[in-house]
Amino acid sequence: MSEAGTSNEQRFARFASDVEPRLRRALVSWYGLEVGTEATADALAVAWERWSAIEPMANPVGYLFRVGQSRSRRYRRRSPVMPTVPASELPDIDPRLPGALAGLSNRQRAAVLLVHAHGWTQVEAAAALGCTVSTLRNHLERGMRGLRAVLGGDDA
Amino acid sequence: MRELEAQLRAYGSVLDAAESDLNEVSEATPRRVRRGTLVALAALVVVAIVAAVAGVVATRSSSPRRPNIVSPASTTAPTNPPKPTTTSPAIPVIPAGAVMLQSSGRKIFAVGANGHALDTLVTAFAGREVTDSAFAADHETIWYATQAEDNQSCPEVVKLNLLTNVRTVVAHAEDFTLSPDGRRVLLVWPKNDAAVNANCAVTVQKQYDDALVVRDLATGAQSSLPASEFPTAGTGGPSGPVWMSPAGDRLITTQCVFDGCSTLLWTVPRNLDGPIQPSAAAGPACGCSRLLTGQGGMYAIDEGTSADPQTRLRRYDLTNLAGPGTVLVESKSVRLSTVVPTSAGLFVLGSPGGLYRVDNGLLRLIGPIDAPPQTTTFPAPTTYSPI
Repeated sequence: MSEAGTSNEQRFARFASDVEPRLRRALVSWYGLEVGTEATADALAVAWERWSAIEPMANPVGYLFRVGQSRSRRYRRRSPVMPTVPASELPDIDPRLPGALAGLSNRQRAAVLLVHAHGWTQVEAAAALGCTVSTLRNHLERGMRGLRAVLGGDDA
Repeated sequence: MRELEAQLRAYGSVLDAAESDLNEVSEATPRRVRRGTLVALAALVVVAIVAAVAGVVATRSSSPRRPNIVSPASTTAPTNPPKPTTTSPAIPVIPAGAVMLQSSGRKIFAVGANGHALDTLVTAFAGREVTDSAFAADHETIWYATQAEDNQSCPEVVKLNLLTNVRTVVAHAEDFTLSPDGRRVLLVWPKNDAAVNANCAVTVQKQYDDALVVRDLATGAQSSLPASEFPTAGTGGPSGPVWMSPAGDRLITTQCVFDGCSTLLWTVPRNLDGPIQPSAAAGPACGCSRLLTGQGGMYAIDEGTSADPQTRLRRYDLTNLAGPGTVLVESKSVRLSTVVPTSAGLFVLGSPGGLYRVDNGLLRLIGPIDAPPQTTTFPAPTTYSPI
């Protein structure tokens, strides 16, 4: 292996370890646990295939998120699987929350989970989902409204 | 049961644990090699073979996928111009005490300084959701941006004349900013899938590869920034907020990636007789999620990052837009989302809580914003005439 090749691999390894958790969170939020995890692996494979083009990108996560979306088409017949609430978290978390999340649109679920469950800022979530902050806010508001409609809340 | 936001925070830990479990199961099963790893290895082999045999230096296309760009309104009449739709007679509209416009779903409503919704002014077309709204300087026109709820058709910037109740779809832009004197409008081209897939253009006349357009509303003259000049990762226009100076001669765009947001300053020719150019001066050092002009300068909401989740309200003197500006208030517990600089005081929207007043560097909670009233001054037209 040439030095250049080794360096390329090292850079990709660093990139993958840095990007993978955030990409996975975004795709799991969008598609649910199983499909999101598969789509993340597929997107990273594409990242390696197109490494020379992806490396200089300003927002590779946003690009790979789109790749993950595209590659996930093969899984889309599955409905999103959201983990059930473990007994240790009851009653702090409403056991109906996973079902309510699964009932949201992909965009709304991703916005809600990235911002409220994972604590991302709105600009970070918008960058990952490849939309503007105003669009992200829109999905977030609709998603929260949808959850409150199912779970009950002040603006349900 | 805790509040929904708190439940979601706790559920984030559940998700993290479930993802870890899934990864451990995958790694503990020898026969289940990730398809991604196989593809990556195969790609590595292919790359090695191609490089060894052909000895070709790979070059990357200098023409990344270009987005569809908003086309400016022509001074000549389009072949199929937007059709204004008229409904009921006009009524005086701006309620006394209104300090801001808010939107929820299809409705745009006025909110007073106490957080109470005063009146629902506009209901947008069915199937569309309002993303931004503003009064024009003449107080006779409301401009608003909408996007389709199904995310399939084009975003629209609409102006509603309050005296005639005529709505006109101005552009298939995603967002807009009006200059305070109402003479210029900045249109921001959308970079989302819907815009690209639906082949959105501002008029039916032609495609126009611009990311930003500044238009004189009286003369129709305009300057634009070609999308190819906008420094993005092939994703189109700015991902964060945009701002136009009161004179309409400077723009700020925000580009956000995971490591934070950066801003760029642009210069617009005073007579709109040339393209928008990058400015030699630096833009604000701010992870801005909102940029607004108000009394005393430009106000910016800086969200911080998830690693440093401190939101700040900054103010910039209009003569110096570089650097961190002046921090007016900051908070770790309240996530600020909107600033409303008014003559009645400086207000911000934050979560949790709702409406706050900024008072000597502190946030004073006023209360949650009411839901919009059901009655609407200008109900949605029954017919819809998009471009």
